[in-house]
Parts: sequence; C-alpha cells; structure tokens
Amino acid sequence: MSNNEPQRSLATRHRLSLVFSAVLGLFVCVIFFVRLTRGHDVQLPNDSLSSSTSSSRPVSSASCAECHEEQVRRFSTAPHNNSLLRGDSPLAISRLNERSFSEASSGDTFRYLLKNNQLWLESSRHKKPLRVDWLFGSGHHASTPVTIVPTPDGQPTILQHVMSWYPDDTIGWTLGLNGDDRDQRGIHGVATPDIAQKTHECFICHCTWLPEEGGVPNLQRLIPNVTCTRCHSGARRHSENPEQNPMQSWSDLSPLESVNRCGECHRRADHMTADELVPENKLLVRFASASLVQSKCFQNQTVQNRMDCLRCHDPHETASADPLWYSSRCIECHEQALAECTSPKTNRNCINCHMPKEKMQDGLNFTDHWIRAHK
Amino acid sequence: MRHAGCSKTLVFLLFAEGLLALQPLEQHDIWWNIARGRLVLDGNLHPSSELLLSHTTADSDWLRGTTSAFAYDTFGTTGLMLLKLSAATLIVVMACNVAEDQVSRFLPILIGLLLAVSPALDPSPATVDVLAILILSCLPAQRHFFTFGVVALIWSNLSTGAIWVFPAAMYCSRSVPSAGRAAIWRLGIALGCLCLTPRGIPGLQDMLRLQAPHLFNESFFLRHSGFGQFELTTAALASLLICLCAIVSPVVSFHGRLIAAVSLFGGLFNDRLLPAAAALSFVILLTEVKNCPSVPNPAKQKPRIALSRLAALCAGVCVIWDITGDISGNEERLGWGLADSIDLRFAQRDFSPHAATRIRAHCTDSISAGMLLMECREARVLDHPEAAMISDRLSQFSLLNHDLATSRKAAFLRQNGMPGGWWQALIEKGITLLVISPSHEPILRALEPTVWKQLSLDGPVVPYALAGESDFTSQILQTHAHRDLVDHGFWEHQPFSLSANPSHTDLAMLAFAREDVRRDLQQALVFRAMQLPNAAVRTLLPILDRSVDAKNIFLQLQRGFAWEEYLHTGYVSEFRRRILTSINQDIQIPGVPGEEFRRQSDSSPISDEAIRLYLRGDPSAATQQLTDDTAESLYAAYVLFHDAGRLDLSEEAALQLSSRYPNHELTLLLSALSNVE
Repeated sequence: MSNNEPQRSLATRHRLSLVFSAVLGLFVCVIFFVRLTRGHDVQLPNDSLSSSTSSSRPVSSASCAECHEEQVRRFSTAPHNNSLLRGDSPLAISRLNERSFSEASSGDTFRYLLKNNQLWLESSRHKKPLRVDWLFGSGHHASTPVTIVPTPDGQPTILQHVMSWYPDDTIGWTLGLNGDDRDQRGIHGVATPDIAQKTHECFICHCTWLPEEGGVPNLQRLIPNVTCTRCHSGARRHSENPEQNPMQSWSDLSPLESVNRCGECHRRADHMTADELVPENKLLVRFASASLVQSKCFQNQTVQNRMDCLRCHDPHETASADPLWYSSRCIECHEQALAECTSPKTNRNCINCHMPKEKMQDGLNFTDHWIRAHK
Repeated sequence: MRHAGCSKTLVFLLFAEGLLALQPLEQHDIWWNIARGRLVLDGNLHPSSELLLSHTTADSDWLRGTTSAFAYDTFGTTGLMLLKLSAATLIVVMACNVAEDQVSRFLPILIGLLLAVSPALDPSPATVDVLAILILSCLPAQRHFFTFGVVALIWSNLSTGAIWVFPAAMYCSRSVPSAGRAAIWRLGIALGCLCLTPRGIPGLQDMLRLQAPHLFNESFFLRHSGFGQFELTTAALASLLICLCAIVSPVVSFHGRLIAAVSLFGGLFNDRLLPAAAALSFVILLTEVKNCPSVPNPAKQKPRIALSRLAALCAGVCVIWDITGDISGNEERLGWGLADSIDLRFAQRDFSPHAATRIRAHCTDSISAGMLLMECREARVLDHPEAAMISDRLSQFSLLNHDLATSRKAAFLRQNGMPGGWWQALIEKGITLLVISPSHEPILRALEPTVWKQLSLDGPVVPYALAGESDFTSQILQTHAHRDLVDHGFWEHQPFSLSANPSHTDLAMLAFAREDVRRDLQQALVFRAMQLPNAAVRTLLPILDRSVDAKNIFLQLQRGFAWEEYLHTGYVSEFRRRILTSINQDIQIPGVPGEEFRRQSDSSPISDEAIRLYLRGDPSAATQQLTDDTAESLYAAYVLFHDAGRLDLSEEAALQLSSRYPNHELTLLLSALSNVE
C-alpha cells in the first residue's frame, strides 16, 4: 500500500491537471473566439454620444407634458417643432403639390405633383422624376425638399432639390443652389447630391433623435423635429426622478454657453474663421447666433442685463414679427440712448437701423443679429 | 553546449531566427520611439511631455527608444536591422540557456518560441520584455539579488512591460530552499526598482494601465487608438500554443500554470503582450519539464522522438511559410530595411519644408506621430494613444478621431457632459496639421469637404493642412494639381514593388518571385477615400490579376461607378453592367434596381474579350476589341482609355460620343461629370 501511494498521488495530480487544463482551455477558446469574431464590432459608449444620436430612445414630449403641459402646448406650433416634415405629410403636400417654377432664361421647368399620395419633382432638366422624401425647414424662412438615395455602401444620402418652398406660397431657387450652374442638365440640374456624412449632419439638426443600426442611420425610426429632449439633455433621468435630477436651467449657463447651445445648429462664432466674422460677409446674416456674439450688446453685457438668444426669443413659440416688441427689449437697457437718438426713422423702433432685415434672395430675408449702427 | 547535437541544433535555431529576423522593420511605434530616444540623448528627461501638447507628466520608460535612436542616427536603417539581428541572436542564446543541454529535446518548443517572439524582434519595448524575462530566468535562483535588481532597474526604465518582473521574480525564487523569503526579497527589490524611474510610484499604475488596458478603458476607445485588436498571425498562434502547453502540461506545478494562465489572458486581451507571455510560459514549461524525473521507457521513446521531429518539422515549415509573407496581413516577408508602411522617405518629402517650424499637429496614431516628429523636430503633437491612456485621456483622443471620422465638426454636448465636435478641439488649440494613418479610411473620407487639405497623396501617412495657412499653401496647391493628374490626367500607376526603394530590399520577391501588393492595395483604398475613384482603379489595374483583395476593391469601385451612372442617367451602361456581372453574377447595389443587371441584350457592342482583357488589367488591349461606333462602345472606349492614362484618346472618344449621339444619356452623363469636376 505504501508503494502505491506516490503513484496514486501522481495519478490524482494528473487527473486534477487534466480537469484544470480542460476548464482553462475551454475558457481560453471562448475568449479567443469572442475576440476574433466580435473584436471589430465594438460600439461607442452611449454616454459619449449626444442625446440626439444616443442608442436609447429619448423620452417623448408627451412624457414631458405630464408636468409641463403649458410649455408643450405652446411648443406644438413653434417652428422648432416643425423643422422636418415627411414627404407624404399633409403639410408637405399642401406646400408643394401643383407648385411650379420656370426659369425665364433657359425655359427649364420644375413642377411638384402628387402621385399615389407621394410628391414628385418633374423637370425638363432630368428625365426621371424625383420623389420628395423629406421637407427640411419650418417654412418660417423656407422649406427645402430632399430625396434620399442609398449609396453603394447602403448609407442614406441626400439629394437636396434646387427648388424650395417660400412663405409667399411659391417655389423658387434654393438658397445657395442658384449660382452659375443654373443650366446644368441631369441630376445636378434638379438636385445637389451630398455625401453621407453631410446627410447625417442635416438630420442631426432637424430631428430629435437619429438612431443608427450597424453604423447606418435609420431614417424610418427617427423622431423628426426639434422637440424637448433635443435641447434639454438629461430628460430621461429627470423624468424618472425629477426631485433627484433637476433639469439644467439655461440661465445657469453663461451667456456664451447659452448662445453656443443654440449655435450647435444655428452656427457658433467659434466655428468660423476671423475672415468670416466681418460685417462685409453677407452670408453671416444667416447665422444669428454667430452674429449676435459679435455685438457690443452681447460683449458688454452685465449680470443684471443678461444678453443671450433667450432675451428676445422664446424657442417654445414662433418668434414675434413686430419690430416694436424687439425694440422694447432694447429699451430695457438703452432708454438713455433712445432719448438721445436723433434719427428721423426711429419712432421707438431700434430694429430698422440696428438689426435690419437683409435680403438674401427673392422672398428670403434674414434679420442681421450683429447689433450695430448700420450705414 | 555539451553535445555535438546541441551545437547543430543551436546553429539550426540561429538560422531559423536569422530568417525570422531578416524581415523589414514594420513596428508602427518605431519612429515614435526613436523620436523620444533622440530627445533623451539630447539630455531631455521627459520626452513625452516635451513632444506632446496635452501631456505634462514624466515617463517611467523614459529610456525607451534611446538604443534605436543611437543605432539609427549612427548607421541609419542598417543600424536598426543590426539591432534586430542582435536581439534575435540574444534571444536564441538565452532560450538555449534555459533549455541547457536538452536543446534538441525541446526543439519544437524553441522554434515555437522564435515564431512567437518574432513580432518583438523589431527594436521596441517588447524586445526588452522578452530579453529581460529570459535573462532573469537564467539567473541562478540563490542570491544574485544585485544582478536581479540591476536587470529590473534597467528594464523598468526601458519598458512599461517591466511589470512582468513580479511573476518572473516569484517564479525564479521557486526552487530556492527558503523560497518564501527569497521571493519576498525579490518582490521587494522589483517593487523598488519599478519605482526608481522619473515617474516614481505612479509609474506602477502607468505600467498596469498599459499592460492591462481593458481593465481601465472601454473597448471602443481601445480599438480606435490601436489597442486590443486581435489579429490571428503565426506569431499569435505560436504564443497561444506555448502558453497552452504550459497550462495543460501535467508536470507543470499549479504555481507555474497560474502564471502561464494569467500571462495568456493578458495576451488575449492585449496582443502586444503575447511575446512576453510566450517567453514566460516557455521558461515555466522548460524549467519544469527539464527538472521532471522521467523513467526511460524504450517502448514510448521512439514514438516520442518521431512526434518531436514531426513537430519540429511543422514549426520549420511555419517559419518558411511565414517569411514568404503568405500568412496573416502583416508585412512579414524575407527582406531588409523598412517595410513600405513605415517608409520614411515620403515623410521626408512631405514634412521637410516645415522641419524648423513649430507646427502643432494632431496625429491619429503612433505611426503618424512618429513620422512627423522624425522630420520636424520642432513639431508638437496634440496627444499620443499611450500617453492618453496613462493620463486617462484615451476617451478624448478616440472621440476626437471619431468626430473627425463622422464629420462632427460642430460643437455639441455629449451625454457625459464632455464637449463634442472636432472644430473646437483642433482649432482652439492652434492645430494646423493633421497626420492621418491610411488605416483611418473614414477620416480620410470625412475630411474631403472640410477646410483640411492634403499635402500629399501617396505617403504611408497622409498629412492635411489647414487651408489658408500660408506655410502650407504651395504644398496644398501642388497636391491639388496631383489630384487632377492621378484621377484624370496622363498618369499610370507603377506598382510599389517595382519602384526603386533604397530603404527596402524585398528578398521574398527575389527568392520566391512573389510580389508584395499590399502597399498598392492600401494606396487604392486611400484614393477611394479621397474621392479619387479613377485613380484608385488605375492603381489597381496593374495588380488586378495578382490579388483577390485587388479584385474586391475593384468591384466596389465599379459598383460606385454604376451607382453614379444610374443616378445621372437612370440606367447602368452596358460596359459597366458587363464588368460587374463578369465579376459577380448576383450583383446588387443599393439605390439601383436589380433589373439593371438582369437586362439581357442579344448583340452586345462590347465583346467578352474586351471585358476579359480589362479585368486582367490591360485596358489598352481591351480598346482594340471595341470595333463598332455605338454610344455604348464609345463610352466604353472613353472609360478604357481614361483608365489606361491615355487622356488624348479618351477625350477623342468623348467628343465622338457627344457629336454622334448628342441626346444620348451617356453623353449627358459625361457632360454632367465634367461639370461636377
């Protein structure tokens, strides 16, 4: 018996070794397999994304309405809440159906028609009609129809139509697409293809949530329009426990941070180069938030007289069109200046001289937010 | 070596290791390490904080790269190759020392080790790790605390892999009579040495962060900064095999198995650790098997010898297979000098005009940072993946690259409160140069419509300068002209393997007559990402019948052309349809109806021979097969002449097409494309 003991001990050791090795080997194989097969499919952590591209669906406006009914009700008609329309929506159809445009110099025609409950652009420039998939813009300034086509990689890409709808209920050249290439033929005569990344950018600013599946934006599942959670980040946590997770108030932000939040879509001044931020740049007028921060009113503001976009605009409703209303905001700080103003055009209207509307093209005007004495 | 057999085996091993070492340098960190080493040789003790704009802390591995820098500055590329061969010889000698007089018995494992550590032969911290493990295992277990301390001290100042000193110290003390006390002494010495670096005690944390990055970082950030991508190479397989042998061998103690298992797990999560893991497992395996008393059993002896010889033969075949460059995606081929992927000549061409300028640059990875810093000693880089990982900035570094790749220019708030968008991150820090590695294809694609413009098209890294910066204007304009040339001009691609490269001798091509087309494939992908599809096709044509990958990229490009044709004209041309269906009968392209490819025509104006010749990479010969003057035929001639670089004939074909068929869709297509261009 004593002679057998070492042998038995060795045999036990071998058996234990075998079991240990088998378990470990299996474990290694599993890790090895997982690493090889899933190594290239890792996802960006959700908290590293903006709320508009996060993988989890944001809370709906209806949830917000449970406590903030008044704000949500007011917001329902705000331009932000109508910044992206599906091509087959009644509003899109009412804006574009049967609208036509003809270019006098070339005789080229453009006409939107409803066929099978879908809008199409027909043009003498391109043999194939283009379907209207989305309408970008609230219509406050303009609405631009686009067609979505998948690229060979399966990424959706935008064909931005050269025609846009304007508030005078006509269609005309889309801003920026009415240059020297008006006599183009083929697809470039009716639309401008954008690259996939640009398409992503367009949707990010015109929708609340743009989910991605396998790196491809899913346009069917997106939440159109700029709704509550697009600007109020952290809404999910807040809705789950409002006491513990109060929403960040925009008044807690510095004026520049506040303007820059709007500038995420309306363009921030620090996204521009110094040569773009000059009064001579006529395109600057399109970008209100970038222009506003150039103003002395913004730069010389005090804590008591805070100046940011919210001073004059409530993003939850349509902006007032009355210049006297805006002038009243100016007078809150500049009463003395108004008293000293000798301009015959004044009549308590500061806007005409200091924030005039600039014409970009027929039917399209923008207010210059770089508050200053215009010549 | 006591036996003649051992000497022969040693010669054989040295020969095998020589073959494995006789491969061009391809370590992507090499220039970064040398740039750091140069600074240290110039008297700077904190190389990373000197070279990086975001880094302020000292380095624990501050001496890293000094040997390489000295060798390169003294003897050039030859110096680096000699360093590599010396390291290989040392590894063989040390490994044989571990095997003592049983080298022949352990021949298969020894060859396996050589294969496993072959990625660590390029001068790098991994070489130091492997050598240090082997040296420590050769130290007599008793006493020699001083030698142990010296090795540990040098190791900790040369490589962050010095943290391996702990398992090595524990294992090496195992056979000492008072093993517990010896182990404690050694661990204490190791701990002290690891802290004796300019970084001090936090250096330990740095080492742990770099050796086990998965414990501290999200997989996404690791993947996008060059960490944690597992590639199944022969070296990786050999490492795994050695580790598994150490784990499953019944004669290995529990202690040894545990260390081998831990090293294997480390290697599985970070393949940079695999050579060190293999070296440690090799030491464990050999030490324990060697010391195991075996009862000679003549009945089992013969099969064992036969099995051992068979294993040695298999390992030898693997070595031969490896040096032909057939295995894995790495540039492991018999050769001398620098692999094309780290060829510094292009960096000299692109960066030398700015050698004395204090450029502030963002580099997407180590190779791009290294190449810039080798030429522009005054340049400063925003961050480096390893430095970012040590200082907890890896997410910022990766997200910046992610924003560049996804074209998120605008500032936006992330859910974790961090700012997003590349504009703020780059412009506000005064970055005027981006250096992008070609592996970051999405970034190359996304930068096309931005204010960043290329400074060259064909380097192993692609520099982009901020448009409007006067220092770069002439280079930007020159490159713009080159873009036109390669995409639409009189230009024909000459494969890189045929062009003279003084810094690389491809011995595999001389020995096995196998051309290396990887650089051409990469160039085609770069052209495609830069929206230069014609240039990409021209690059692929000379290698089309030599590489399956080339055919696949070619197919993707043709899909793109077909898509564009359909977008402009509403149909896919006969020429394109024939090409696509010749490569893949079941072609499907999003945005193009499938009927376009199922269309059958009784008499196609384009002969099968023309398509065959084109797909063999000879567009000029293919044009000879186009005999009629139909619109489809003229369009095919236009494309073929264009791809052949015969611009004059291509324009002639286009003119004929527009004059004979002014209202044909293909005429409109050519007109639209020329307007867009």
